[in-house]
This record gives sequence, C-alpha cells and structure tokens, in this order.
Amino acid sequence: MSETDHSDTPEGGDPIVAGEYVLGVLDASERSVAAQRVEREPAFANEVAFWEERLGGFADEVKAVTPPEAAWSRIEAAITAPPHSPVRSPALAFGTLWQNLFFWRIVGIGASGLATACLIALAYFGTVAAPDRAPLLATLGQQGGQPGFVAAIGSGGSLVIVPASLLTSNQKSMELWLIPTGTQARPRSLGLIAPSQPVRITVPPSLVPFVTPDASLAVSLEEPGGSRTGAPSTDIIAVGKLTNL
Amino acid sequence: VVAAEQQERLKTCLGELEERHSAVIRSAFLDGVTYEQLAQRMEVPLGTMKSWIRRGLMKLRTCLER
Repeated sequence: MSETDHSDTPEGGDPIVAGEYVLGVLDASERSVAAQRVEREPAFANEVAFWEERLGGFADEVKAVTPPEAAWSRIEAAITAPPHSPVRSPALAFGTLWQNLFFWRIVGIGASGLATACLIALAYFGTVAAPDRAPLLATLGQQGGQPGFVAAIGSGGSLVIVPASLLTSNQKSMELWLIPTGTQARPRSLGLIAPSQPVRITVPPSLVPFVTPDASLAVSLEEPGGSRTGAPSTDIIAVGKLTNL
Repeated sequence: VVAAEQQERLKTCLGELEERHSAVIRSAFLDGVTYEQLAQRMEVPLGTMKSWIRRGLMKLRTCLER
C-alpha cells in the first residue's frame, strides 16, 4: 500500500472495510452500502462483529457522566414508566460520541429508549449539576403517547434532539419547529432532523428569546428538503412542551 | 472482566502501531468523524488519511486476532 490511498476497496478487503464501518470513517453513501451488506452477507456481518467487540474497549476511555439525583427524579417524573421500566444507567459513557453509529449500537436505543435519550440530551450540556444553568427539556410525544424525541436547549441556544424510539420517515424529511408561547405563536423552523440519530442545532439568535418554559417543540413530516412555505405541514408527528428540569 | 481484558488488548495492540496511525484511529472512533473530516482536521490529503487508517486497521486486526 502506498503512502496515499485513493481506492474505494482497500488492500485488506472486507475485514478492513468492516473496520472502517465500525470506526465510523466512511461517508454517508459508503456507510449505507456497508449497512446493507451487514444485513445480507453473514461473512461481512462477522467481520463487523469482530471490530465491534474489539473496539468496544474505546468506550471505556470516555469520561462517565453521572447525572445528579435531582435530575434523575425529574426525568423519571417527566416520563411515564413503561411496563418494563428503563434500567438506570448511572455511569453511561458519554463523550463526543453522540454521532457515532457504533456508539448508538452500544447504548442500545431500543433497550432503554426514553431514559437514555434524556440522559444523552442532558449529558451533552454537561451542566446538569448546576440548576441555574440547566437546559430546558422537552419530551416530544407521538400520537398515542409514545415518546418520539427528547430535546434539550441550553441558555445560549444550543439544542440537541435525540430520538427516543425508532422512527421511520418514508422518504419524507423531519423538520423541527419552535412554537413560542403567547401571541407570537407562529411556529418557527429550527431545521431538519434525523430520525435515527441525535442532531445538534444552534437556535438562531433571533429565536433565542422565544425559547422559554411552556414554549413547545414539534416535529413535522415535510417533503424532502423541508417545508417550502415556512410553516409546518399538517403532518405533525411529535410535540412537547419545554420545561425547566 | 472480559471487557477489561478487551480494553487491555486494544491498548496493547494500538501501542504496536505507528503513533500517527493509532492516533487517527482513536480520534476517528472517539470523535465520530469521517475520513474527510479527519483529513481536514489533520491537514493531510484524503488519500493519506485513508492510507494511515487502513494500514493501522490491518496491523491492528492481526494483533487483535492473536
């Protein structure tokens, strides 16, 4: 192998492609090809499993975040405990991993859903211990009461929205809206979000004043690329109020 | 116990790599960045970054299999 490598298929073949996939270095289209191969090719899936197991040691390198008791009791009060209550993960590892697909597989979005999403959203801010600077939190419920997303917004307007259950969008784009309280209640777009991974958004400075307790966040289904009218479609799939933790 | 062993093994094997190779592999995983982003961050051509990571992965795999 030379000092530079422009090939799409590395010298080491599938074992290396699997490593690249688990490491998360592939671009979106390469990643999607690899994900399909995991489904269809047992040999490739084995290679991926090899790396997932071996590289799992990295997860222990990141600093563990333990939310304070107060935050946990609020989170628990804010969610309706399902029959199989989520297990508390007091030492869930969290670093800058939030967009890493492998990290999401470790955390297991399906296993502890909402509580994990809350924890991730809060850990993102690293300010859960300081109540005066605590972010506003919203649980965006779907029709039927199932939680769809958890979002947290810091005082500076940095927002993270985390899926709390597995959603599919059927070719449509999901758009996030801020619905201010009071007379200026026209929904304002905060941009497109992903159904399967956390998304970090910076709320535009002009909209930060509208980020208040009792304002709401909503997610709508839009044509690919997002709403062209500046207003959400009637297809609102999840909505929830911002509350102080 | 198994997790601790895995972590120890990973650490040992990363230690056997060229330093820049292990550094970019660690960074790729922990920061969740793509080849493209890593290349920009380290200010090297994309092909160079691919070469570093792929070489690192090949050597890492051989070591982890032992």
